[in-house]
Amino acid sequence: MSVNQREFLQSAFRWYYFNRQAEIKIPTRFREREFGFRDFDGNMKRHISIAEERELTALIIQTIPRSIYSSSSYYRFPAAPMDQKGWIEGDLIFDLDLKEVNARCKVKHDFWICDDCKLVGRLPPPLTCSRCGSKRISKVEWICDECLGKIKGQTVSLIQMLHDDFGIRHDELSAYFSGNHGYHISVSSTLYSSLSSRERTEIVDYIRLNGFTGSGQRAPSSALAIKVDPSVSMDVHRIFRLPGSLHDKSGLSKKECDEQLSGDPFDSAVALREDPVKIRITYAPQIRLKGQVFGPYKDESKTIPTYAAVYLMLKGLAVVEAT
Amino acid sequence: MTDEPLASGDFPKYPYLPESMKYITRYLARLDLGHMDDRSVEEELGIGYAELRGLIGGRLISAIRDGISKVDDRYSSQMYDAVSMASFIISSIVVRASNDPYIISRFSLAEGRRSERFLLDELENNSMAGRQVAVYVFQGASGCSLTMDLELTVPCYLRLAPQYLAGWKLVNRSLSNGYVKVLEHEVGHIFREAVAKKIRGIIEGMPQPTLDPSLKGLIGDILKYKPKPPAVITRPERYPPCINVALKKLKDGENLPHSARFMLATYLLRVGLSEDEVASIFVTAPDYNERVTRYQVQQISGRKAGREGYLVPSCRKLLTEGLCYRDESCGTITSPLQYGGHTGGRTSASGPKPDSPKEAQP
Repeated sequence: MSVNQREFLQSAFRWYYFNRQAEIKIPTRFREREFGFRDFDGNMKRHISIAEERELTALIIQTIPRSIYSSSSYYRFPAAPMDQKGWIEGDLIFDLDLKEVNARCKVKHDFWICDDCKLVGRLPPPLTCSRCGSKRISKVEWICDECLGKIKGQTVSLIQMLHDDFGIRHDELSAYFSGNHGYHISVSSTLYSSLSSRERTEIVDYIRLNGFTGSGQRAPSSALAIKVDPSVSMDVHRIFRLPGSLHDKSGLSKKECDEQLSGDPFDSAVALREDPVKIRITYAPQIRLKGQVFGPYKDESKTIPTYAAVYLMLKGLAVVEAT
Repeated sequence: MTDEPLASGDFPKYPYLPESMKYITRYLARLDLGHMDDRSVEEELGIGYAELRGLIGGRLISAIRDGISKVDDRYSSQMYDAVSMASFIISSIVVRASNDPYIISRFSLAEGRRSERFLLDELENNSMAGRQVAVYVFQGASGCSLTMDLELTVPCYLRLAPQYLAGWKLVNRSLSNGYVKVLEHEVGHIFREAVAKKIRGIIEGMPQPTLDPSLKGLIGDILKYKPKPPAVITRPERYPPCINVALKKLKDGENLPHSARFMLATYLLRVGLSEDEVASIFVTAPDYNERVTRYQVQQISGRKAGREGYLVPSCRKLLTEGLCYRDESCGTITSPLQYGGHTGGRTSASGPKPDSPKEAQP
């Protein structure tokens, strides 16, 4: 990413973190959590701890990170290296993402793009670009109402399962739009917080139906696989995107939802300013943001609101021309 | 349900519970295990020392040789309570003095099996009082509440249920509102393991005792029943650290978790040991059962059924299971089978097509 592009994106994020500080949800027991920041050059800084709420806000404003994370676990020494942190317990977390859900519509809207000559094509991606021979080919995942509906349906089913099967109370569960292509569920329950990684894996297996023999005592009503990301839930040292922070692949915010996931996250999670900006777009299928439809675009310049420009830039499909 | 549903007659069945321990210390307070004599034993327990030593020896030998503790029941009930409890406590102290992980684990499990029978009796007599005792004792042994309808909370179930059989996996259980239903025999199984763990903790927490020579002699008597490790592992230096650590623990008689046993079996089968050879290395496991072990090794091998068999867990998987002891000799291997520069076989984290077991032999 060129300096110009990075500066533009960082200034868009800066505007949000300066003007929408109240959107950042400082998690409970923040003194016992590890925080992590990824900057716009891709460098990750972990093992950050904070003593006061305003310390986190100050750190964010100072550094304007591309991504902000906090641990789902609580530690005696959150700033220490991993093996010396002193794990106390951890929330149960679940990540539902389009990657895990085999939506049929993917073949219609996902595509590949050559990172060098920007040639675009339908999946599956070639090993080398047919125009320039480059091997730097990226797969671009898109989202439409059909796959959003599917991921929503899976998330609502998981929430129901957590209540009905696992006895999780409503006040112990929080649901979030991830800011990109999925949903996050976080469960803060004293009953479940001390589970080991192995025990969490058993819960993931239950949800995904891994190892289901069909001959056990399980009720058929709960015998539908829900595709949570197993590595997220079983890893007790995972840092997870901070609620209210911006997603590094979309510029949308991680936004808390009700348990029915009502409303359109591509409306409510749009967080950046509206100021128009001129960008050069290589290619983009249609996307709806804040109720307005953008695209499809192919090799053209457009002046569109900042939030839409940032969305396309973070997908690697556009560059800013002038602000 | 009353707070303390146990009567004194229940204490010998569950001698490791705090109230049972409190009961017996009344009898044992004046006994000096460093210098046992007839008079003090007679005064405290109503039987001579030789008789008490015989009971302790019987309890210990049945535990180590047969895998279940047996206690002589020819005494009147009140005397039986005190004598039985004394034999448990003193047996535990002798086991501690042996300082042998196999003896400690084997004895703990044998006591767990003994106690399980009493618990199942309480459940099978179908009375409210019996079930109350069972529920109370279960909590005392495991630290987890069992409901009167025999349900465990999901976290308790995950902590206590054996991990290695498909029927126990959470995915094959019926869950409702955070509870898992367990059957009576499953309660017994979970209880046995929990009691064994509790007793192991009690014994390992004891200071090293000073014993009367006659009690010390019992250690030699029980060590005779400790199985000898087979000589099928000839070149351990060619195995990765994870395998050697598990083999050493097994040889020392430690109670390996199922994940470690699975790792050993899959690895040793893949490097060319026969099913019989692999089954034989588990003879030093405190809960060894020849028939069950052979069956499990056969299942893992898949040779009899003409299947490929289970894959060796990847290094990453072993790390999450706390079984990885990587050192500089491991280099950048991702599977234990790659140790020592071998191309390795396919592991559970997927990878290249498996080499034949002989090719992969370290």
